[in-house]
Amino acid sequence: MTKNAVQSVAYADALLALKYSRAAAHAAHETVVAANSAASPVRATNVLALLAGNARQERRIGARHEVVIRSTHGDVALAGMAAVAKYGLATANATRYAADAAENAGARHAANRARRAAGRLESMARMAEWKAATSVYSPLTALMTARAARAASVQAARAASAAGPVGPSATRIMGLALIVLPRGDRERYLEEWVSEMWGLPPGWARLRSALSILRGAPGLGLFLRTKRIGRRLWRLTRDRSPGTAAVRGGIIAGSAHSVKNRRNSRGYSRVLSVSGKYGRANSRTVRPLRAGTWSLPLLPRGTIRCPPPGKRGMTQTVPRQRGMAVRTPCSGSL
Amino acid sequence: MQVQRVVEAMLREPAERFYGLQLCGLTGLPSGSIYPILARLEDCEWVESKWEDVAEVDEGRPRRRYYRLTSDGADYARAAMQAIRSARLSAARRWGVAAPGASGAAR
Repeated sequence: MTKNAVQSVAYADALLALKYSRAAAHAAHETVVAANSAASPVRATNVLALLAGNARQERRIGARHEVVIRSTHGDVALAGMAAVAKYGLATANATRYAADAAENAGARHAANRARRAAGRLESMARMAEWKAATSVYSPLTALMTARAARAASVQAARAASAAGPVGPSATRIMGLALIVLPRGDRERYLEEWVSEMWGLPPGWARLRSALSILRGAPGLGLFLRTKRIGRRLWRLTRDRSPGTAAVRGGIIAGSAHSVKNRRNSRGYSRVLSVSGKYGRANSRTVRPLRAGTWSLPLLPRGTIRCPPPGKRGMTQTVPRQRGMAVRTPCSGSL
Repeated sequence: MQVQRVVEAMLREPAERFYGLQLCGLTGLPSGSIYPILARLEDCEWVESKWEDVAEVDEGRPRRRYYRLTSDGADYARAAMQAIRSARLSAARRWGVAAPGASGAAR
């Protein structure tokens, strides 16, 4: 097979391992829920009380009581045991499939660990199944099965990440980097970083790249967050009468501008012009820059007055459109 | 300076689309620096980005996100780079030193 074909097969296996590990995680979650209901006597009592109460009320009002209270209806604990066994076995299967796919993708050790965890879980789930079938109530078995299911799903996830293009250490580092990004941008950047890792040779190069991503993530997260705050602030300020609006600047600097608004015939305010000192707005004194960019994403239409350096009286009018970035070849203050 | 390196690299082939790792190679910057710069450039609408449209399994790799200079962005970038160059030259003249890159050009 060619290198590309080998890569395709490995990538398909890695994707399969990931999908099965997600299935194992869902099944493990269901196992835990079922184990909690099996180990909770309060819930069983409540259901019994509810069914008995309904029967009493129907007898009092003369309605025919249709519900036959069998032991299986009332005994939620045993039903929980049966559910634990069912979901436990599903978790074990998904973990085993994830392990197979991970092994095909080249992650043999992680696959073996996942397979051992699946074996332990299966024996616990079989025991829970037998106890549920023979009406032996054993909350400890249910809880132990849930614990084994959680452990198996963790091993499945580890096998999937070991089989994937990134590797477990880089995956963990990227997970840390993602924490500082806004929620809405996490998926995009994770996919982008993973695709970048895929282009690097495995081992140190990927780890170094992941560490570099981790180092740059706070800056990226801060920018992505302030971008939204800046837009919100602009929305707040744009409807005001003439005043000062803090508008995020371009790639080189932020700026502080005064904004002139005028209400049109419909009553909506319209930005007539934006003028101000061009430079960094992070301190009281605005330091002028030689060149830069203004980016006013929500400015509908307007003009930027910008005198050339040393010619205070002249204004350069730049027609603007929505979302257009304008380079201002000026320095000094307006 | 890092922003300038990214912009310069993209200006060499303004119609070309680049992905993050490719830009890392062209500029010599680490991945951690490239993505914030690209996010800023994208926010200014100098650069637009798009996921490539490929079947991941057929291709044998995850899909990439490609970045390309917009037509306006390329104009602004050229003008900005020109302004920076002229600012450097004037500063060099004022201080009586050779401008960065001038010695290479003279040779």
